[in-house]
Amino acid sequence: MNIQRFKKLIEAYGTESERWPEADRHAALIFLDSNLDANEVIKEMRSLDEALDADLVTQPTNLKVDILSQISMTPNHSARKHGDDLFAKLWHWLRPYVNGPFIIWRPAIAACFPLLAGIYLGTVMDIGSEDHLLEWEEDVYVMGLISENEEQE
Amino acid sequence: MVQKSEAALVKLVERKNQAAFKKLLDIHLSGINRYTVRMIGNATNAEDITQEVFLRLWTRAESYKPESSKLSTWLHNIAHNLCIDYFRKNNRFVQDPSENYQSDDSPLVASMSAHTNSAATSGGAEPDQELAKSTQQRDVKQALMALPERQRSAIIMCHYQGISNKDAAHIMEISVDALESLLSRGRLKLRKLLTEDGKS
Repeated sequence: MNIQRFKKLIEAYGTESERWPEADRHAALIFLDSNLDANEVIKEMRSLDEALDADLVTQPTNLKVDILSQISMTPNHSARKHGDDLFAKLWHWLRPYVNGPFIIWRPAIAACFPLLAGIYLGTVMDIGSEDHLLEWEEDVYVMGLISENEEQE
Repeated sequence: MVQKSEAALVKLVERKNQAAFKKLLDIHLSGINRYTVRMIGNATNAEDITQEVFLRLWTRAESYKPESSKLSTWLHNIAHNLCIDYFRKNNRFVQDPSENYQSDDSPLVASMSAHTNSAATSGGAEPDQELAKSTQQRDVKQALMALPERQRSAIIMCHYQGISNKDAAHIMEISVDALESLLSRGRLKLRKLLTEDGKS
């Protein structure tokens, strides 16, 4: 901590140490104890904090009641379609925080599902297998032989 | 600990538990309302925004992620965004109050000086003190409203709401350095508005 950083700290966060960032607080307090210029900075800036602290906001009396009556009028969330819930849950799983970090592996896994489903269906249903074609060709061939024999007889 | 119990209450709110919602209302209503009143400068409109914040808690509780932020930060985030929306919608009708406070002869500075002088000469008689106090309150409100919205929001969050610099920066979607810059510029302007020469 030096006087420049201390001054910047006070200019941004004011003179009350509980408003200083946690990372700087300890160093700033030690610096304040040992530096006369730092004390001057505090004296110079204190009146703004005192003026700001004089501003009080009174709590409106009916606000809580108003909010509670409003929520009783809102349609019940549980009455929504089950499908909407599922979709919302899936969406939150894919994109958890609006302003937070994007987790890439979740949409990547989601994108793999159609591929896995395709492989599974292909295996189980035996779609496109050449065996079927061969069996059919053999059947036609045998039927051809049989009809040839019948004709010769 | 508080965060855990609040997260449990939010889980109950997700299931439309009114008792849990009331409990969260008791904890956060006055704080959020103080923020909106100071941001908007008009109690009626601020109350509408405060109501909307808690309606969103009721209807969208599932979008709160306790591992990502404190409930207070999440609610302030909603309140901040609603205030910004309010300013965008009403921009055409809101006169820039800073125009009134350009010179040292402004009514704000004059009243601040009068308050300082009367306090010095009157010996602190009680009615005078009350008057001086209410004058000072009015002046601070006017000075706050004269700030650009982002500077005002930064000062309200860090000075009045006790929000940490990291959380305030997260809410405003800026870096901590940018927040410090907003705070410094805002406080400098406030000092200029509230004192004759910017030196208190």
